[in-house]
Amino acid sequence: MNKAFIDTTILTDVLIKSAEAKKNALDALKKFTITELPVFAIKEFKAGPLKNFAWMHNKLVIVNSYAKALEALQRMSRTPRRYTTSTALEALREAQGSISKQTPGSLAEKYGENASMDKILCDEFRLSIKTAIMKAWRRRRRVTTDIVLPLPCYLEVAPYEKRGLIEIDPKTCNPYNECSLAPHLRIKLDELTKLRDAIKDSEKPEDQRRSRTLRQIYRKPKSPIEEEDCLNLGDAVFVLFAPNDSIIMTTNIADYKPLAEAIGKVAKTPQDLLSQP
Amino acid sequence: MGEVLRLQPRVSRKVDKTGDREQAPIEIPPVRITTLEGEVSKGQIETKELYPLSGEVRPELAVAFTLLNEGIKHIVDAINTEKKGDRISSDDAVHRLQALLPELFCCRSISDGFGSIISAVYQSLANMQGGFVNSGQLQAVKRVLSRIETEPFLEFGEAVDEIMALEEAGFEVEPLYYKYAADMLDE
Repeated sequence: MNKAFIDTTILTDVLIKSAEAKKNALDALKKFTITELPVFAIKEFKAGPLKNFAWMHNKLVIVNSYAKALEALQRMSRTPRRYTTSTALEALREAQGSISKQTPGSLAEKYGENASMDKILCDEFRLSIKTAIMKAWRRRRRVTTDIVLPLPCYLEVAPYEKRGLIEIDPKTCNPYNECSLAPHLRIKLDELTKLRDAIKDSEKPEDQRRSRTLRQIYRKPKSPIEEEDCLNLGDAVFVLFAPNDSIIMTTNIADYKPLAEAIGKVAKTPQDLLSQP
Repeated sequence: MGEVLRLQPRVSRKVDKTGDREQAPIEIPPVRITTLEGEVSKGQIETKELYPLSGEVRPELAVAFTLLNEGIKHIVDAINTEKKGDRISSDDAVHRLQALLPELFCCRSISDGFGSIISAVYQSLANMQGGFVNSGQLQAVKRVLSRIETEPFLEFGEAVDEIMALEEAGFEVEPLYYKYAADMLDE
């Protein structure tokens, strides 16, 4: 197999992560001649990680303080991995590598608040986030060799600034009658059934929503498929539409593996791919 | 019935005296064209000519021009000494540039484009962690600093282009702590 089908986690690693995650994803992509990115991944990326980045930027604009913005980030963090979160927060508080660490205190007299450590950090972090958002959007279609599965009902509008805040609307589709994927889903009813069987006993809320939507589509294929159904399908869209001769590349292997195996497809992480000869 | 008002314009044949016709014509000084290497070029005009009142209108702009001019001299020095194979002098010139970047960042109220470029240049050099900056990277830094010297108010989108050019030269442009934020925000 020399074709990779890329999901949102890989797109995110390449576009907004730094260091190891980005390098692993890029190195793994280089192992394939053909790499395909469905537009659905761009939609998920914008509605997920990019939306969170815009939130962080806008919080820094509004509170105008690095320390206060970190407090907000801590409150918003939903991760159950408390150790990881506390380590990350500690690293952020330390702000290793910040320009503020090299700014002499003597500059405060000349530049006032602009030379204070908190204000420097606030602006440095805000500008890094803003740059990351704009870079990510520009590069979104350059990550893979091909862009596949166009979504006629989804408009790719670049992030823009309004009153100093970053706006990333629209995050959802604007379907005419129903989701533009609906006709493609209806010709894969057998596979939808298998996907649903693979996750029906899962206790994860995300799997439960996905399971309900899959069941609804194959039991009532003539019912219109709405925007929310498309969002609920999530990972199932990637597994369903990945070409049979491709490897689905994801970092979310725990969720993808049962789905992929249910319909005879293969999902691998960048680390899996890189450890192969 | 009231009188009908005719709102027609009145045409006067008198000479317009709103302008001061006695004023002597403004003498425009010849534009001096210089480069940092001291060679004559048609492409570069001194920044002070472009923004003659920068110090009065926006003091941070005047400071930024002075610092940028100094910084570009250091990077040109780094490029020239690197060409001669004098890596120590080249690296030391980079140190001098690095040392003035925090003060340049204090002038970030000029524009977000300006601030983001200064931050990216600072991080690019800091993330080398003392490693040697190669000639391609030195040229990339010179190019981006020259751009904001002539266009300090450049659009953010154009600043992003310049930052992407730094990445293409092999630099990491984000602060070290950014990766932790990226992990937390990707939930």
